[in-house]
Amino acid sequence: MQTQSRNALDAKLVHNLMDSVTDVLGIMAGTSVTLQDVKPVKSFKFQGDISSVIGISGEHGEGLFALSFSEMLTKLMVSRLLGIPKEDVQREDMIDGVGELINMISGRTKVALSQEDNTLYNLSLPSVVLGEGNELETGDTEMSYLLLSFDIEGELFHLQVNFQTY
Amino acid sequence: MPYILSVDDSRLIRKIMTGPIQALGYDVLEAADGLECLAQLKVHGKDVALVLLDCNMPNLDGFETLKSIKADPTLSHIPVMMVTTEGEREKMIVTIKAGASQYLTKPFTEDELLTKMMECLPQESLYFG
Repeated sequence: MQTQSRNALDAKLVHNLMDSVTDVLGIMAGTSVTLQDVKPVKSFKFQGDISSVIGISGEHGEGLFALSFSEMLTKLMVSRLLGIPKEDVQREDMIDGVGELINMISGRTKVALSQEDNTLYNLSLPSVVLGEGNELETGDTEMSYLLLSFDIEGELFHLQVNFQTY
Repeated sequence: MPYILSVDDSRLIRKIMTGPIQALGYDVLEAADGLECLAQLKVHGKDVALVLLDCNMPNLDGFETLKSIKADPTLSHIPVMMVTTEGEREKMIVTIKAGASQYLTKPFTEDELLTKMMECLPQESLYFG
């Protein structure tokens, strides 16, 4: 595979992730999502009350995707996924729900990347992190991340991404 | 009443499956990974009409579970529908060759889930109460 410029790769990745987030939340939760902001960040800090992180790796690239929701927005999403009132949503389902959403978003993105790069990627199992502001330390001080912020009905949630090809 | 066995490490996905399974007139059995799936089939295998099987799971993944089901002469007749984020054509082909009857990629609508389950089940068994 030809080496791609950082900007070209980021643009392609953002496009794929945006489509994946829109599709997953639209199809599974009947929710309309708008991309609000994309910016590079230097550290991997979880941005919400409940976050999930998943690893992606393949012959030509590897990375991390992390999704962060506020507790309120998680409850709304899970209530729509299950078709039940927000008051009836259990905490175990909120934690599980954020993990499953990053799994589906990453899966959709992985398929798009595989088609574009003509190679197969694999996903790790998702892990869930509770609490805002926790940082992920990778040991690589040169590593940079993209922070994508999305809006659902006036509430923001975040997707943080690192993906490197080689 | 026969069962449909829903196998996924996500309890949320198993809950999402419950309504459509019951809408087809089946009772729900659940398993959180491949090992639990095989244990459920050991006990209830003769009453299971369909297995809904995720791919990426801890302990024993969906592909290895599928191979175990199809290698067991007492279970190999049970249709298996993969329900997974693994949407690449190559992975679908490998799974179908290993004996999967149907393939549904996440995310999915309830209608897609119902339609694909119905394609795996004997028509005379479908009961719409």
